[in-house]
Amino acid sequence: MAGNLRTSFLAMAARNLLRNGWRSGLTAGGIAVSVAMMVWTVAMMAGFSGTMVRGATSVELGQVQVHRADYAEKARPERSFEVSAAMLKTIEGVPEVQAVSPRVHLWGLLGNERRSQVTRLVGVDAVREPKVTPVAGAVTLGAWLSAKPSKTGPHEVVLGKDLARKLNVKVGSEVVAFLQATDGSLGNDLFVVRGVVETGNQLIDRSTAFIHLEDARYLGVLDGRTHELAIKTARLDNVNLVAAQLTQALRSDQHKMASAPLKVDPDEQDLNAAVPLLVQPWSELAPDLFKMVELNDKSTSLLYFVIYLIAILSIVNTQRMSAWERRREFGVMLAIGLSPARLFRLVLTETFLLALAGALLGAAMGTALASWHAAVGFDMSMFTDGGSFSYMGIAFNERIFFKLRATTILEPTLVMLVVGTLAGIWPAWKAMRLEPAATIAGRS
Amino acid sequence: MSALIRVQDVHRTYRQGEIDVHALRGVTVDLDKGEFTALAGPSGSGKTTLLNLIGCLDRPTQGRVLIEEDVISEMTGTDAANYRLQHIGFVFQAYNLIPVLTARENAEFILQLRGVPPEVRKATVMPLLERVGLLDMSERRPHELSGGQQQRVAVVRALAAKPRLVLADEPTANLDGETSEALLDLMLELNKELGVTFLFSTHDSQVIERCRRVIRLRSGQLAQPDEGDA
Ligand SMILES: Nc1ncnc2c1ncn2[C@@H]1O[C@H](COP(=O)(O)OP(=O)(O)OP(=O)(O)O)[C@@H](O)[C@H]1O
Ligand SMILES: [Mg+2]
Repeated sequence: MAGNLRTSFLAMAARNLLRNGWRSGLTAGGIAVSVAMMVWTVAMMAGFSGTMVRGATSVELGQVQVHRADYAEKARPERSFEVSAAMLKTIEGVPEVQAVSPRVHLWGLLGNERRSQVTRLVGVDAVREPKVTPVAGAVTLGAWLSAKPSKTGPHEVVLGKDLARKLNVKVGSEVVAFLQATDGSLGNDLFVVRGVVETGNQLIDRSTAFIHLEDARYLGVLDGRTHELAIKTARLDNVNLVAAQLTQALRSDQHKMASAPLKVDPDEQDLNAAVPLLVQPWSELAPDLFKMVELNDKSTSLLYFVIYLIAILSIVNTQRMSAWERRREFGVMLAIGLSPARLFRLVLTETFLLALAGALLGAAMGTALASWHAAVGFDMSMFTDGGSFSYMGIAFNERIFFKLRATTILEPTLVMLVVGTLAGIWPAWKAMRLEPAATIAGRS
Repeated sequence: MSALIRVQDVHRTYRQGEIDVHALRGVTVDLDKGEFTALAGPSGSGKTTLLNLIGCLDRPTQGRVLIEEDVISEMTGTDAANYRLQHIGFVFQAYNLIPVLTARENAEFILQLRGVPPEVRKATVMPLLERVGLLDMSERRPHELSGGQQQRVAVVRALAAKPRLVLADEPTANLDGETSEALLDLMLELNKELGVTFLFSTHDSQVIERCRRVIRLRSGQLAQPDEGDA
C-alpha cells in the first residue's frame, strides 16, 4: 500500500512537471546542456591530453625508458651502461612490452664548410628504433637508415626536416659531425644524408640527426655501451605498472636497480662505475607534460564546479517559483491531512524527476556529440586559421580526436542528478513549512 | 448524550505588527452528532478563525476545543495533520482540488493517504460521485469541471473518508445562486442519508434560512440569540 502511494506520488510529480511543460522543459534542457557540455569538454580535453602524451611518448620518448640512475640525474655522455642480448630479451619478456630500442645520445656540431648547427645526434638500431617510435614512417625525403650499417660505404644520417633546411642539405649531401668524446678527445666523422624526417615533434624536427648505433658509439668512444633503452608498451594508462614490472625483471636479472635518480658529483668521471639502472615511465621523463595533463584535470574540476553552481541556482529558482505558485494547493493538501513530510517528498520528487530527465538527456546528447568527434575528429582549424598548430613542442593537425570514457559520461550525469535533487531541498522545505490556514486565507 | 464538539471559552488573538487583533473573544458552543449547522456573521466576525480551531488547523490563544474526548486544541504539527486526515473533512471556498488529479483521484485522495487499496477506494468513491451526479465526469481534471462540479467533488472527497465532521468555509461563495442552492441541497441530503455532522460558514441569507441551526458571530463573540437546539 505504501508502494502504491509512492507510485502515485511519482505520477503526481510527473504530472506537475508536465503542467508547466515550458518551464520544466527549459530547466531540464538547461541541465541537459550542462551535462552534455561537461561530457563533451572532458572528452575533448582527454583527446587533447592523449594526443599530447602520445605525441611526446610515441615520437620521442617511448612510454618507458631505462637509464643509468646518474644519467637520469644529469645526462653526461660517460654515464652509459652495457646492454646484453639477454637483457633485451628479459625486457621484451615483460607483459605489455612491445619493443625496446637502445639509444646513444651525443651533442655536437653538424655541418659543412658553409653552415653548421648544434645537433643532437641519436644513435639508434635501425631495425629496433622503428618498432618503438614511428620515426621511420615519418621520413619525407630519401629513406630511413639501412638495416645494417655498411662496413665500407659512407656513414648514414637521417636529419630532422628543419635541421636539413637550416643546413641547406639534401639527400645525398655530405655533412661532418664534430664532438667531444667521453674520453675528452675530439671526434669527427663524415656522414651522407640518407633521409629527412618530419615528426611534428620540434626537438626532432629542428635539432636531431639519427645515425647508426655503432657509428655513435664509435664517435662518442662509448665502447659498445648505451645511454638509454626506449621501451614501447601496449597501453598508456598502465605504464606505471609496466615500469614496476620492468624494475622487478631487471633486478632478478642481476642488474643493479635504483628507485630514484641519484644525487651525484658532476665532476666524477665514472665511465665504468657500477651505478644502478633506473626505469622511468613517461610521467617522470616528461614531468612538464604530466603536469599539463594534471592541470587539464584541475581546470576541468573548476569548470564542473561553475556548471554545477549555475545548474543549482537555476533549479532552485524554477522549483521555488513553481512551489510558490502552488502554495494554495499545497495549503489545501496540508489542511486535508497530507503530512508535511509527504509534501516535502512530493516536491523533492518533482525536482528529482526534472534532474533525472535533464541529466539523461544531457548524457545522451554529450555522448552522441563526443562520440562523433571521437570518430571523425573535431575541426580546430577555426582556432588556428588552418594548418597544424603545436603546443609544448607537439604538433597537432587541425583535428582533435576526442576520447570518451565511461566515467566521462557517468560522473557528470550522476553528480548532476544528486546535485540537482539537492537543489530541490530548499523549495521542498519551504513548501512543507507552509501554514495551511494562513495559506488558504491568502495570507502567505 | 454528550456533544460531538465542545468549544470552551475560546479566544484567538492575532498579532499584527504592533497591534493585537482579537478575532475570537470567549466563544463557547457545543455541536451534536448529525447536526447541520451554519456559522453566520459579517465579514471579519471570526467565522474562519473558529472553523480553523475546530478543524485542528489553528490553536486558540486561550480556551479548549474537544472533539469527542480528544483535546484537539493542543495538537500540533504531524499529530494535527494526522488527526485531520483521520477525522475531519474539509471543503474550502476555492482551490479545493489538486489540479493534476482527476475528479475520481481527487475524491480518493484522502483514502489514498490513509493507505486504502485502489479497488476499495474506487468502490467507495464511485457511488458517491454517482450520487452527486458526476459519474460520467469522474475522469476529468478540475479545470474541465465547473465551479459547482468542483465543489461537489470536494464534498465527495470529504465524505468518502467517513469523517466525524465536515467543515466547510464558505463553500458556496464562488457559486451563483442556483448552483449554491443545489450544493446546499446536496449537503443537506447527504447529512440526512449518512448522518455526517456538517458545520459551514456563509454570508448567504438564503442559505441561512434553510439551516436547522445557525450560530451567529459578531466581533468574535456569539451574537444573541443563538437559535441552537432548534
Ligand atoms: N492570520 C491573521 N493575522 C492577523 N489577523 C487575522 C488573521 N486571521 C484573521 N485575522 C483577523 O481576525 C478577524 C477575523 O477574521 P476571520 O477570517 O475569522 O473572519 P471571517 O468571519 O471569516 O470573515 P470573512 O467573512 O470575511 O471571511 C479579522 O479582523 C481578520 O482580519
Ligand atoms: Mg472567512
